[in-house]
Amino acid sequence: MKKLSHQLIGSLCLLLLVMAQIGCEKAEDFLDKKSTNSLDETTVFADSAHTMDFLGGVYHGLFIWRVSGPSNGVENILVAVTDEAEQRYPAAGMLETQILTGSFGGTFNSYINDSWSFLYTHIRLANIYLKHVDGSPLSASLKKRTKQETRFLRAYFYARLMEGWGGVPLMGDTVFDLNSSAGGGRNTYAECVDYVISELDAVAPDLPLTYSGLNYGRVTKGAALALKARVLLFAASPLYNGGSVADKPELKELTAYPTHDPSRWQKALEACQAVVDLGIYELETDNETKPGNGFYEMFLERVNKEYILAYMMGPNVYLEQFNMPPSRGYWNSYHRCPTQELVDAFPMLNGKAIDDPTSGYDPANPYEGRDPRFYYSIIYNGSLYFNRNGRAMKPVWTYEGASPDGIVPVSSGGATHTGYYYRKMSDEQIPYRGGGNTNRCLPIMRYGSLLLDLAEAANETGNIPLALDQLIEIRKRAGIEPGGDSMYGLPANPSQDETRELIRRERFIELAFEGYRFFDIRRWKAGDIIDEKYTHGMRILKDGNDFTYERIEVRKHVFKENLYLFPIPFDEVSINRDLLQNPGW
Amino acid sequence: MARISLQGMVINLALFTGLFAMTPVAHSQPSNVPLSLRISDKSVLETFLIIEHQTSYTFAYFSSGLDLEQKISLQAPDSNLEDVLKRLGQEARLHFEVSDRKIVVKNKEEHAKEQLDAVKTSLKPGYASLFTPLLTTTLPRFRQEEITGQVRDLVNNEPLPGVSVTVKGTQIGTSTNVEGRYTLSGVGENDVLVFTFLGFKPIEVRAGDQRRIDVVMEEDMESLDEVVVIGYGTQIKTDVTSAVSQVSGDEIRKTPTVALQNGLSGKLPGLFSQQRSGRPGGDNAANVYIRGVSTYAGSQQPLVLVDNVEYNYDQLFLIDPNEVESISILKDAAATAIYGIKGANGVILVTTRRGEAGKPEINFRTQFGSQTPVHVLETLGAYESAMLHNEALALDEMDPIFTPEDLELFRTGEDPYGHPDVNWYDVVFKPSALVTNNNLDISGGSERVRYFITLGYMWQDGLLRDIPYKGPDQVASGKTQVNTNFFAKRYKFRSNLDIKATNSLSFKLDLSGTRQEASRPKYETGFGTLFRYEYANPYIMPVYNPDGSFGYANPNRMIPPNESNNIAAVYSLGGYTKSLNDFLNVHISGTQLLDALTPGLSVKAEMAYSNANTASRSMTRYQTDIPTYWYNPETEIYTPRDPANYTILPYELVYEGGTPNRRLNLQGALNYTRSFEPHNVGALILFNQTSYMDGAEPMANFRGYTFRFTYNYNHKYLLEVSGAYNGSDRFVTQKQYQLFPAVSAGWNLAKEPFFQEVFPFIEGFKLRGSYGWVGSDDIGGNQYLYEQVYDRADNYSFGEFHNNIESIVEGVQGNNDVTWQTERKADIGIDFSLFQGRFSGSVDYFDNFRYDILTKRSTIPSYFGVQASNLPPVNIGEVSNKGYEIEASYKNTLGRLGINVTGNFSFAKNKILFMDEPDPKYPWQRATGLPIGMIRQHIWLGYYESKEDIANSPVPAGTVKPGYLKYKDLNDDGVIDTDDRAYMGKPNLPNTNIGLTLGFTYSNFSFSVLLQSALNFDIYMGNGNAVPFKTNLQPIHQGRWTPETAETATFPALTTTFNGSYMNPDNRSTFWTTKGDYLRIRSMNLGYNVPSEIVSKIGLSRVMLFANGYNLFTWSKFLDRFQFDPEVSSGGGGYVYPPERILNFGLNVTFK
Repeated sequence: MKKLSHQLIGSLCLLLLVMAQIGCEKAEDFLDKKSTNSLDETTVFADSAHTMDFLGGVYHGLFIWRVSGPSNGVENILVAVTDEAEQRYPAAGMLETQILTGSFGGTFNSYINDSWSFLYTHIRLANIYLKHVDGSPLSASLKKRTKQETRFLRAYFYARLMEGWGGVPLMGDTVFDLNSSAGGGRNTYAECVDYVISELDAVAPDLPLTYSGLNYGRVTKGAALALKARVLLFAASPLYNGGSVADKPELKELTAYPTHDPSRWQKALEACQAVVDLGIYELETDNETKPGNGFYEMFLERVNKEYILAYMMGPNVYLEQFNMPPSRGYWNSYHRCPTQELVDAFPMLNGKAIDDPTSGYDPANPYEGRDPRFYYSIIYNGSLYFNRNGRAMKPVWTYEGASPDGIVPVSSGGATHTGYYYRKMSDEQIPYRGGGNTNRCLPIMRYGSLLLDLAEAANETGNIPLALDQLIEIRKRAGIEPGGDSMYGLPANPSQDETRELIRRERFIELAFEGYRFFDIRRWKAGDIIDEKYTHGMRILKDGNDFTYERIEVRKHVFKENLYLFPIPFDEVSINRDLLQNPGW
Repeated sequence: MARISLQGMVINLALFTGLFAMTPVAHSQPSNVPLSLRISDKSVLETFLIIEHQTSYTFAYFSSGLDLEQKISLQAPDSNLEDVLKRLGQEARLHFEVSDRKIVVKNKEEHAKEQLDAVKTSLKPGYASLFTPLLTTTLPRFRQEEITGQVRDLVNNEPLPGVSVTVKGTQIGTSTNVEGRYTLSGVGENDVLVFTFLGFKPIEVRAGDQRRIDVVMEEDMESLDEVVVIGYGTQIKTDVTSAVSQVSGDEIRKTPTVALQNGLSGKLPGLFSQQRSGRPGGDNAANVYIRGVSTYAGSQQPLVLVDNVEYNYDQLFLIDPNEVESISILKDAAATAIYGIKGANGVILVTTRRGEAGKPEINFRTQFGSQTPVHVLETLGAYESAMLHNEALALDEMDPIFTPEDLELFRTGEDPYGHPDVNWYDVVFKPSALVTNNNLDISGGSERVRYFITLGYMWQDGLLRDIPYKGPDQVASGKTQVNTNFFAKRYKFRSNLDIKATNSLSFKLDLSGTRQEASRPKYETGFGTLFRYEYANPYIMPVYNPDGSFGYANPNRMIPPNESNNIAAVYSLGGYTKSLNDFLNVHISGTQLLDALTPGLSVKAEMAYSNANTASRSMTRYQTDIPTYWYNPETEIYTPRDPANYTILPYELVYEGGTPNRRLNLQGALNYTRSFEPHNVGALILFNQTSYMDGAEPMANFRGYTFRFTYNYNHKYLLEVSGAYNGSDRFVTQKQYQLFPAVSAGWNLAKEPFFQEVFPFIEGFKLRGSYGWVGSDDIGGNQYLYEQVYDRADNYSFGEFHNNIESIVEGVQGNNDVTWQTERKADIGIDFSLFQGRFSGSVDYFDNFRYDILTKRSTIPSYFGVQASNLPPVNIGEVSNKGYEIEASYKNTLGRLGINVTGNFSFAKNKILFMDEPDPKYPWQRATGLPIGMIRQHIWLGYYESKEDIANSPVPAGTVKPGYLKYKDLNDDGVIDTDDRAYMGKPNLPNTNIGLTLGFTYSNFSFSVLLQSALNFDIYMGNGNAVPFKTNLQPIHQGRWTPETAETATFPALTTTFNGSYMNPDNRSTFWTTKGDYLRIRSMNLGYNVPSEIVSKIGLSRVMLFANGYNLFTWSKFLDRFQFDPEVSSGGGGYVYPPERILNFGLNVTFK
């Protein structure tokens, strides 16, 4: 008996070892969820600050995203696919290489997929916001306004999708449940245009014209009108206005309007005019300090009169860190080297094209007396740029053999392949790592681009003088001399075709590196600008203090017909067979 | 002269060898032993025999010069033993010592001398006499030639003392001394010697004309009732009805690896491991699988328990092979069901060593080894590379970058600064590095307390050279450079105590701690960078300039990417990052017998607490901050890489605390084992609870109830029912608990009389089978898998002045229906043993079916707006996994030669039955129905022969030139695109694994070799491995296609834009995919036991010298073709720290 009691006491002690610790916990809680700080739908929309932060997430969809979003020549790599710029690296599985050689490998597909899903993810976020904002504690007026902002953003994401892919599936206001059917195909291009326009028409009237204080940077009425103009401009352009490259009839209406209708230009013109009529935007102009200084300063000012919609950023050295020449930079890992094509497109200070014998262009001194925008867009041989070493403006030398910035063959990766570096939108006082940031936001739509849209629509509707007026506005701000005829170097009575060329060339230089070129070439159905053409650079040889200049071929680009529209992600087409693939993919 | 009498064949030398326990006998005094003798004129020997016959006492002889043939007469009726011995001693001048039931016989003179010696050496007289070597005299009437020899055991190759050696059919015999030696006289040519020893298989040897007969004895497993470690207990092997394999610590230690996982390769049927990297202290942990893989989502790796307590894999890596007593792997449902929701991938059980009662034994084991990479990528020199670069540029229709003068200078090497030729690997890495592992074990104990204490120190050096900074403006040298080499140090202690508190209450107190320091250069990716063309081609820059500064690239030729620098400079001055890892483990358990309540019942409580802490300390500087210069030999001008960088900045010192993790495990169990002959029953009921805390993550809780009931009838018919009722907090309340049951049965056929009659040579034959369900909740994702999460995401700026907001976006979607994965496992097996256990083995067939696999659905279009990574898992996947294992071993002795061959063959083939795959456009795009880990790839046909061939063949988009890879147009649409990529070839993990161990022992030597092979898997090359001008040029590129070599080309035509072309390995194709099959000499081990006569002279009990090797040879097609280790993961994007080959020398010293 004694033995038994000893053994039982021993057992009890052992059980206590375990039970004492379990006893401290409430048994039913042991496997239940411990409190975490994670957020969910309910907690977010029960709190006004969280709700506004969620809206911030929708705004983030304006982000530069590889093949969409506002371009700055950095993240939007399509810049280097066109005749605007060359990319630095010779090989690597880079998207640019894949496009410009027409090989469309894995990187290309993954970038395309990412952009597609990025935009649709933000469309979903917008729909979640619209679904829940009414239940949030925001004030009624804020609910109303933020819903309009959100609907605008959603329309913007669709507009980007349409630029990339043509007609796409429209989600409406539905937040899709994962058990929903994936069925249904793409909406036609016309349906998409109608949807986006109707959304913009619905939100534009009540959106504020401007914001001040903490709300600056939100969506305005001007943004809604400008986006409408942009969408209608695309819709009127050759590729979409009955110009689909699809051969299958069912694909035609998905990728464009099936038939051509010149009146679409009129709609675009009216939409552009509506933005001008607001009367609140103007081109940032300062020709007093220096000719064209407004064109330079605009990109460095957070608050300005020209930006209609911008991707808002904190003070940064975003562009400088990527684009500076080796002598000025730190990473300088993403050179976009501007091409000779772009350089040659800049007129002279008198506004005349360099191939005009009266322009005064001197091939032995090619960088003398050019359009002031040239100097703010391009670093060329001998151009002054701030150097942290010595803390002064010093020349950048791109002649062959100059170290470290001199031109190198395209097979190398070290420096420019064209003899030029990019500087547009950069703050020349702040080479990267020199300290300091600049108050840069990236323009998505600005008044300058709107005026060029207007010029194009005006010309296509036959109103050539109206078109020329816009070009003059642009050139005036650029710091170009008016000339005796106050035509700022423009010819006196150009034909419609000549005007079209003038407008296209003006877009090329005014909007260089802002992400327009690739999509412009597509909508103009002008792939031959690129296809099978070499980009060129300037090989400069130094002899004593003299330089000799030789235009050289840099790299041949191809533009296959299927590039007029991006491929719908492969998996997407597999999952939903009703989703017809774009032509040529 | 000495002989052993009839009954006294085995003298209990076990008294001091401790090899087996002696049956305790009540001591009776010799004076109480009745004896009646009437001897007249008989030999002493005959007298002894008579005494042995009458009593239970036996005589033993430990002295030389005994004259046992002398005739004596002795009348002692109704006397006692003591009296008789006293009188006999006087008569024959003999001295007797009685101990237990043994009478040791000595002559009187020797005894006197011994007594004196004993006093001198302070040894107890009894022990001294027993240690005296056995010497023999011969019996005159059998006197022939003397036979001598030594007896060793097979496994440890150690001398066996106390083995009885007799001449068959006679009374002649002796036993071996402590060195295992014996001498025997009076053996005729036709006589047969019989060696017997308890627990070992008897051996018979015909004497013939041999004068020396050495034998190796083998343990008789059957008779020892070999014990197998199973979940929460042990079982006698013959009673096991589940699929379990076990390997001993001794066996593991024969493979000299730092990481325990790597030492298992090839040793256990059904287990497969792959070593991914050889980096000291970090990545050399292997991936381990049991019976292949049967899920494509979540963890595929088995649960690991060390002494019943769960460990993470990085914690398992901290276990020193020296601590290990044995490792078991549990494979089928019967074995794993008791781990319920955690057992589906199989279980690895590690048991650590414990002390045995006896004198303190001190064991010191030290080993030093040299590590060399298994393979170093061979690259081409500057001249060949430059030639090929020019050739590629010409094909690309671009100007050459090298002039003929350049090429000539590369060829002659006359311009080492302007035209360098650097093998960066050789500059940065040395051929070999040291590894050493030292352990001191102290074990022993009394009946009440037993202990095993071990201290260990492991140091594994890295391959990085010491690259001096020789620059002109040298900062105080000590401050400029630190040790940037890779290395790992592991300090370790373990103390395992067994305490018997009362006769029925015992405790185990285990305490172990490990500290590991693993250091690596800040830019450890160097192994990859070294072979990158852009960063480190052979002519890119000289290592040093003439003035001692580090060189940099000529910008007119080629500039490396700007985030990089001279690699030698980076390794020299970039500093290090050291990770510090502390792991402490306390494990207490107590067992109370409750036999007073009912015999066989006991209760057990167990608590284990572990605390792992990581931190890192780094002294670093950015590689781009390190000044390097391009030296132009023509102008002798030095141009800095970065005009702003002329000085070596100080190091940045950073300490970062890591994420501590803590685990508390509590177990309580009732155990019942009892035999009601012939019925044997056992029961286990166990409560188990674990809380695991990892940094700021919510506590992960697990609770479970486990049971096992066993019954057997006379060890012949076996039945076992087991299972677990487990809960996991990863699921919603209604879905937390589940029962995972299993049943198994066995039939020991060999115990049936009819079987024994038919197959008398088969002593073991068991049929067994099991069926059950096991689960897995280790499926990745958030701790609360069902939970919807909104995430803080990117910043956005609003306001006239920057006003940052941290946005919120929808994160992972919730799904209240998620629950565990379940695996249904079936297994049938046979265990057999033939010819006295010389040949034994087992065969298993299994059929596993995993269902409810948590799958992220892939049929949800991305236009729904949920990113793939945010999709919630759904229990929909199904995988079948079937296969078999064969294990066989053969052991035998041929005189002094012992042979031991063990082989295992495992086959496991899985198949995805359902995984929510989008309906593919073409049938060859379907993964469902194929094994896990297949890839879609182009089918490589050859090379485009000419422009006409390109014009007439299907081509991919983009540039295609003659000599480019030609792929098959599966859908015949005239274009090569992703539609033409089909699931082809084999999966990325082998389905067949083979291990073969050959072991030999001869005299004091032992030798073993382990061959290991993995078959039926494919490896595809990643983008960073063999792409010309992305990686450095390699011999494979010399086999490029040119019009002249079109017939023999082994590589496509070179182009500088290769990486951007469709031929890039990212566009998978069978050109880049190669059979991964390999055969390795995984380890080789040679041991030598220093003869004990030498060892004992220096006061030690055992000294063993050994040499062993790891990864000694590899045969692999993949290695031959792409110079890449076949165990390194498929599709890796670069070159990792290569797995190592180790040549190791060691010494093991034991003393008491």
